[in-house]
Amino acid sequence: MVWYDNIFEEFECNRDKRMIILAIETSCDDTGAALIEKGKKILSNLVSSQDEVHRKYGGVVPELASRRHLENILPVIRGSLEEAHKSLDEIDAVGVTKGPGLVGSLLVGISAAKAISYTKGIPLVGVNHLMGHLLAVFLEEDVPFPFIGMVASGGHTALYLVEGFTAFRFLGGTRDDAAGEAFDKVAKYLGLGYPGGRVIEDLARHGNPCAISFPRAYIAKDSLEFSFSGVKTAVVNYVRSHSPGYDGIADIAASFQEAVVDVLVNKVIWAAQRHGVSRVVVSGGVASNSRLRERLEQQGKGLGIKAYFPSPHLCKDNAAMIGVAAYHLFKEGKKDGLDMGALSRWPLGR
Amino acid sequence: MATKKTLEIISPTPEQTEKIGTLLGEMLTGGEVIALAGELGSGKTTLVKGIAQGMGFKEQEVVSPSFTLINEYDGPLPLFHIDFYRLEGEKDPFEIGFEEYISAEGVVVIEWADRVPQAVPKDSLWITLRYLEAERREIVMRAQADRYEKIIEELKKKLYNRNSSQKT
Repeated sequence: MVWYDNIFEEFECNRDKRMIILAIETSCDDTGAALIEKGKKILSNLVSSQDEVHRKYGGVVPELASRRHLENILPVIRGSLEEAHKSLDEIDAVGVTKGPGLVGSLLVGISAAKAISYTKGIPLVGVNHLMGHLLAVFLEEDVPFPFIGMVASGGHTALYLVEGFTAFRFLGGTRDDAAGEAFDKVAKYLGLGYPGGRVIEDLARHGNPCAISFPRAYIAKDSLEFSFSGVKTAVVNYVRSHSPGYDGIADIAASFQEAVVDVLVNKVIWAAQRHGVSRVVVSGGVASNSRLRERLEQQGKGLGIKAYFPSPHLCKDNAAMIGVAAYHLFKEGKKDGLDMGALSRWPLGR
Repeated sequence: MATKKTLEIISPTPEQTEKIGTLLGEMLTGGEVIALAGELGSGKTTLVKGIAQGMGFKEQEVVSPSFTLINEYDGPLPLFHIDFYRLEGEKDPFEIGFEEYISAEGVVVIEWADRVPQAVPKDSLWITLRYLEAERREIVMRAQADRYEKIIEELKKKLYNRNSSQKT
C-alpha cells in the first residue's frame, strides 16, 4: 500500500500534461467505456448496445441491467482503448460510476476500474451518475456557471443549481415516476413498442397536442418537484372510456407528450427565474425529445433564458460524461481508495 | 396449495390506498415479502408509498423503481422496493441479484410480481389491485403463509375500527 501511495503522489506532480481518463459506466442497462482527454475531448466513447461493439469486440446484446455487464465490460474497455489508439499505460486515471444504480451492475464497473487502478498504479475516482449527466454538455460546449441543470431520463427527473464543476444544489425531483418512465409506460400501454420516448414523439407528429387536456402536475405553485404518475393514469382512464382508433391514439400521444413537456419546460424556467440564472442545460434520455427542445428554446427566448442540450448520444447513459466528471473531481483532489463501494442511492447536492 | 385467508377492500381514492398501505406497513417486522399485481395506474406505487410511511420512511422518498429495478431504503427496518416491470423470463430476477434481497433482513415489496410469479417465494403476501373506475380500486390481499394470515386479521380489525370511529 505504501508503494501504491508513492506512485500516487509522484503522478500528481505532472498530472496536467495530457490527463487521459478511462471512464466506465455500468449503472443501468448499457456497459460503457470512454477515453477522455482533459475532461473535454472524446478520444473514444463506446456503449455495449452499439452494433459495432458486438461485431468488432465480441460483446453481447444487453437484455437489461444485469450481470450481463460482466460479459461486456472487458470487450467494451478494450474497444475504447483501441479506438483511441491508446494502451492502458497511457491512462492517467480511472473514473467510474459509483452510484446511484443497481449495486450488482455498478460493482462490475467498479471492480474493473479498481483492477486497472491497482495494477497500473493510477488514481481511482468514483463518480455520481447524475453529475455525469449534468456535465455531459461540456463535451461539446462551454456553458458559463451558474446554470440550472435538469436531468430527465427513464430513472431520474431532477433539477439542480449548478454553480461549478463540482458544486451542485438539488432543487427538486420526482415524487413518483420519472419523465422517461411515463413515456415508456404510456407507449407500452398504447401498444406502441419500444423505446417509448421515440415512438411517442414520432406518433405525436400526426396528432393534435390540444386534443385532450391531460393533467399537468405542478404540485404547488412554484414547486420544483415533479409527479408523472397522474398523467399516466389519466391516459389509462381516457383509453378505457374512449377506445380510440389510430387517429385517436396519435392525439393521445401528442396530448400526453404536451402535458409532460409543459411541466418540464415550466419547472426548469421557474427554477432559472427563482435563482436568477439565464442558462439552462437539459440532459438525460428525455432531453432528446424534439418537442421539449423546441418548446424550451422558444419559451426561454422570450424570457432571456438560453437552453443548452447535449447531442442525443451524450444525453443517454454513456461513459464519456463520467470521464468529464471524474476529471473535475480529480482536479479538486477527490479520489477514492480501493475500498470504494457501490451506492444504490446517492443523492447529489443535498 | 389451498388459498388461505384473503381480504378484499374497495379503495375510493389514491389517498385511501396509501392509508391502507400505511396500516400494513406499521405491522411489518422484517423478513416479509409482499408481491403486488395490477395493471398500469392501478395504484401499486401509491400502496408502496403508504407501506413505506408505515415503516417510518417519508412519502417523498419512495419513487418508482421500474427503471432502476431495485430501490433500497435504509432505516431501522430496511425496505427493498423491487420492480419486475422490465423483466421477462424466469432467470431475469436472478440476474439483477433478486435472491440476495429475499434472504436479507428487511421488507421486500415487488411491483409487477405477476410478470415473473415463479421467482416470488411461495410464502408471501399477494396483493392484487384492480381498476374499477377513475379513482376507485379493488384491493385483494391473499396470505400464503401463517404470518400473513395474522397480518390480514389485524389489518381487518384496524380498518373496521377506523371506519366505525369515523362514523361516530
